[in-house]
Amino acid sequence: MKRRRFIQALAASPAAPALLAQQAVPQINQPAAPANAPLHYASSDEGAQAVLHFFNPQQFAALRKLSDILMPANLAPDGMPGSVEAMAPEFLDFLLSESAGDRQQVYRNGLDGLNSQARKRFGKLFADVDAGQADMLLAPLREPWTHDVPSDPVAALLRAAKDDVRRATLNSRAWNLAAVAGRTRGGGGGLYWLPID
Amino acid sequence: MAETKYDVLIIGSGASGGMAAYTLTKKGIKCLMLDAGPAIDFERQRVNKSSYELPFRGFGKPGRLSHVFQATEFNANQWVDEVQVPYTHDPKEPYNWVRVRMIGGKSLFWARMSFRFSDYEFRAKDHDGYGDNWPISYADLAPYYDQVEPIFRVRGRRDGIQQLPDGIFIEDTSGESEANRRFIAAARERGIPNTKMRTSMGRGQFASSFNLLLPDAMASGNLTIVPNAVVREITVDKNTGLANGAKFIERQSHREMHAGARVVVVGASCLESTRLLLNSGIANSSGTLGRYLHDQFYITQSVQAVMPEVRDKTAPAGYASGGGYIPRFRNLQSKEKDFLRGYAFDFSAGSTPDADRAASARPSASCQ
Repeated sequence: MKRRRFIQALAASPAAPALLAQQAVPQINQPAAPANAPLHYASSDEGAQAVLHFFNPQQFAALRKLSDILMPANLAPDGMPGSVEAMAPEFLDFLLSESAGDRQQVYRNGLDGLNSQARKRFGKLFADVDAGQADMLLAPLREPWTHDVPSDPVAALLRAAKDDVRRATLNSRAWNLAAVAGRTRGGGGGLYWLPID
Repeated sequence: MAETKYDVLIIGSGASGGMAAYTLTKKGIKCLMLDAGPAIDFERQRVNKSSYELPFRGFGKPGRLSHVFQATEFNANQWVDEVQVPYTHDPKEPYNWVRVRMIGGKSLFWARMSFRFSDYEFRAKDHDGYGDNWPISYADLAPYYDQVEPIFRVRGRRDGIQQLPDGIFIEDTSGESEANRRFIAAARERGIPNTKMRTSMGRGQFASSFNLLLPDAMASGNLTIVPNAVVREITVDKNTGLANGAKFIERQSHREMHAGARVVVVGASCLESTRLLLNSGIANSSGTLGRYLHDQFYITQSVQAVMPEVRDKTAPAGYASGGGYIPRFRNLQSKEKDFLRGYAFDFSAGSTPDADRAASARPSASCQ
């Protein structure tokens, strides 16, 4: 049907006045945003979940358990997230995937070592041990700090993870939101230098 | 078209290039300054961000700027990227080459510690019999310290310490926290002196060539600055054998240019200046060029102690705050058998000695 004939047919129909009125005078209920209004963008942490691909499932479960012990929600300042809520283990999976081989080995060997020790001493994986058993397995954390990197894979992992889990938590979006809400100071931020052409 | 001939060509816009421009232009000398980096608009080039907004959550891209210990994910773009501008070193002897290519150079990002050398350095051989004396003494250099300190607004406390001469300071009259008083008392018991840190206050955000030297030089009408000019060779007049300019590459277009001048000042940092002279095949009749270099180096070691009152949160506000400086104290009056000369270090106290601070704190020390 040609457009002119369609309009003629439409005008002859019983519902024509209402339809034409709708077409002729668009009703805008919401005020239009100014043309130069800034757009607000979300971080990927806000809109999506990380796809894990560095640790195997057993290693990741051990890292998640370790992270929860190192920085649990119930010991964080009031209202602040723990490492699991801050998705620190998921972030570390990504960070390690981008890291140098020796750093990757610290984590892989250390988490395998934790699982191996847990299986040997308690017959289960580290992710499944209770608090008392975990306390025994994490004894190297109570050793005095020395400049030399520990030769024991588990001790080397614990030294690295202690800092990394804490930092990944404090620098997370979840921590930042809680900090902005006034629950504590900090949240991690600063002046960022844009790339220089 | 005839090439514009300047009186002086200055290569580099940092501390030494900036001071050369500041001094020469005030005497009416026409200067052209070339810098390998861009001119920076600090208001537009930096934005506030939260750590989580950065691609690596503030950890930094693994492997990037591995030789620049000051680099963070926030400031990574201010340093020369060693992938883009690579250098090599003996794998057994890693060298941390910290470079900045922008107008103002490293004077934009220094720690502002502003000390005078003494004759314990200039006349060191006279004192301990080792090495050689400098060809100048403290008395030769003191008048120049006197000129520079007011420009950079150096704050300090005059303590009459022979090995750390006093300067023209903005007097630091601040008191000492209890933590520092205890530290200082323990040092004094051992005959170790102390003073307040000597710091360039500068103006505004910076104590830099960029804001303290170049604006005055520019205001004289005698300074022309060309950014993004990567100098590759100093040219020589075949008839006189004297430097007469430099060839440079425009950083973005890669176009080659030549700038002419009666005199060339090379102030492109210790290693860059040396490399440029070596690449130019000049100033090396003795074969010494490139040897015995002493670039700024960076020490990351620190000693930390936890005060029980701070740990237990029983210390009053301000109990652990502020800091100071321990100047060289060894081998001054006596001569130790197995240890030559000495060292100095700064100290500070804070009230939040948690793991995060401990991991990231990197107090520096300087050797004298």
